[in-house]
Amino acid sequence: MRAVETKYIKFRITIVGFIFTALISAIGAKAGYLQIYQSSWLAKKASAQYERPFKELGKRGTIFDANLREMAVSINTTSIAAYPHKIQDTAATAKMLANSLNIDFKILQRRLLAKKPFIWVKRQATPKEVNAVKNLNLDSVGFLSETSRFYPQKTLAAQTIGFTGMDGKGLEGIEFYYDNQLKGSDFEYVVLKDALGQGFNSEKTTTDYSGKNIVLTIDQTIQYITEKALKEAVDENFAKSGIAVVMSPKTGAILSIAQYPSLNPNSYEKFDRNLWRNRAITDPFEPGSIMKVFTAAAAIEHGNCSENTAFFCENGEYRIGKNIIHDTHPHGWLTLKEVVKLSSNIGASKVVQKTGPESLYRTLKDFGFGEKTGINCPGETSGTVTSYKNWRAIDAGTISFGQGISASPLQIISAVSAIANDGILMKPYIVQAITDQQGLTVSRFDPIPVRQTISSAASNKLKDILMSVTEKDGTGFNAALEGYTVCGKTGTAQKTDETGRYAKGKYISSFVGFTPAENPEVAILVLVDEPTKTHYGGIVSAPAFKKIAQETLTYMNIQPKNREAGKLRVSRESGLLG
Amino acid sequence: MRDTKKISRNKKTGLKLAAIWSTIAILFITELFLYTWCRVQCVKTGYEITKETDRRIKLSSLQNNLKVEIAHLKSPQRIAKIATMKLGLIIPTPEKMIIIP
Repeated sequence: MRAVETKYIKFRITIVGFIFTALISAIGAKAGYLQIYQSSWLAKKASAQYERPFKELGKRGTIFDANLREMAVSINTTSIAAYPHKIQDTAATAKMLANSLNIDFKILQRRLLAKKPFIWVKRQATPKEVNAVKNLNLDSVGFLSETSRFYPQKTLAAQTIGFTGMDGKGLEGIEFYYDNQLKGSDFEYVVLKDALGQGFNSEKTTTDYSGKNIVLTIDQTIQYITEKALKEAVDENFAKSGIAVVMSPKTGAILSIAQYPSLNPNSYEKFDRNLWRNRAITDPFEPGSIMKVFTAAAAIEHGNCSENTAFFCENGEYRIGKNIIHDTHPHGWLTLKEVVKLSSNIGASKVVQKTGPESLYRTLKDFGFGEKTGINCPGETSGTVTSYKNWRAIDAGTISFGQGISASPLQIISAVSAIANDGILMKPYIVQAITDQQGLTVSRFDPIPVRQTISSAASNKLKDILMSVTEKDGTGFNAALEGYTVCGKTGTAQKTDETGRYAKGKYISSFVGFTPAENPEVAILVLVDEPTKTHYGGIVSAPAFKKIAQETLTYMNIQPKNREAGKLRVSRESGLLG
Repeated sequence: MRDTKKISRNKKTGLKLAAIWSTIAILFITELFLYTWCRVQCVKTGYEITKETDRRIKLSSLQNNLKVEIAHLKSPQRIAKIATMKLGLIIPTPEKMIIIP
């Protein structure tokens, strides 16, 4: 018996060995096949079970004012979405959601009944609304994290900054013009999830996909001063609207652009579309008597005139061809200085007759009229200045006092700033730098001189003339400041109606100037549209100029001229010294 | 006598083999435990990273909201309103202005 067992033992071991070898070889072959030929397919299948891909858009950059105070920021919000195919009782779900979100039940129910896999219930919901919907514990409702734009200063510089749409795309102003720089880039990342579906290790990269920041030249405080004064001027004169611009004449940096009525960019859709655009840049106006400044500039620079050159002002009525030009008050002989100071239309026409239309045209072109300034804002108008070759005799006369020509408020203030800046025209700019999320400068915008419009000597003569406007008997006396010298010019332009004729009783009242005259720090333009109380620029706009200038110079720590040096000294450490 | 020696040599070889296999088995099991411990630590750290990342996002969002609130509180409109309405302050006239050197 034992012999039989030992006789077949080797044979049986060999058989079992073969079977095992065959099985292991089969397993090995299958493993090899799976590992070598099917590895990528299997890896993909496995990763789909524990990896969850996410796609996000980097945060939009911040817009700062000149002192790095936030003007436009991106905040995290939650949007509520629904998956209609998962809803069992549409009416009940719609009712619960409508109650929690305070939205129309019928509209929501109709949208939930649509055969779509996904619908937005409410974009950018408030935290209170999100909590209310979360408490409903609805499986068919999802919460998606988004970023939305918020303007903490509300109406301040609203038209300049502009706004973004629901999807974060810039629609107006700086938001639109610098959309490519401000917007963040798309990025994808993968989150690993466990058996319960919880994420447990994200492969989110540390690279910052946020957009760049924009630093404006606008100063929030000066902007507020300007908006406040403009609002008061519009309200006091029962006017339709108003525009005011403050510029640094030496650099061309815009310190503020105000527009009234304003809008709140946090809810821009509730405002009239006409309020969306930045009218100081996009809209051309007939400048009116402000143009006499440039008529005088042409006379001094090209017409061999001095401030004392005299012109006969025809006692208030002057015929050119078939047309008659009038002055508000009749004048006899006036010097060039008096023509500007008393704002004589007839005097201005006589000045052009002496200097010639070509000189006036060239001067206007040199000051930048009829062409875009190139400011970094959207929708800029170039205004209109027709060639002097096409001017009739009356055209040269009317253009000399600002009729038959159009310019944007920005063009006017840039041109007046050139006089303040020794005749050098600076390119206006509103963005001074683009920075990254760490605050490091990516690109910088420095002041750019465009051209020498008139000589320095001519600009000094013009400053003397313009200073006389704010003297006691000048048309702009209401703009005179205590402690500072002011150069300026009033403007009262009749508006045209739909037929292109001058409308009765509709005026644009303006005042433009700079201060202090000896070392100009600010140039200011105030333009009030259709005032009904009175329409003279010296009464309507000059007081607003005064308010803006006085408060801005105080804010900028500009020493008043009449202060006796050394009489009052203050130490930062110990206060008043004596 | 020769068989006894042969049996004794076989026994020694058997013990030696058993010792080798036991060592291999212990090493294998130890490595198994080490590997499992590493994996557990890895997953645990993964959860902690996710938790901290979420916390960072929440804090960053809170910081952002606080920045917005500061910007709102520092707005010139609000400050001017408090200065004039609550504190009774006015804009100084040039003669009242003191320029700090």
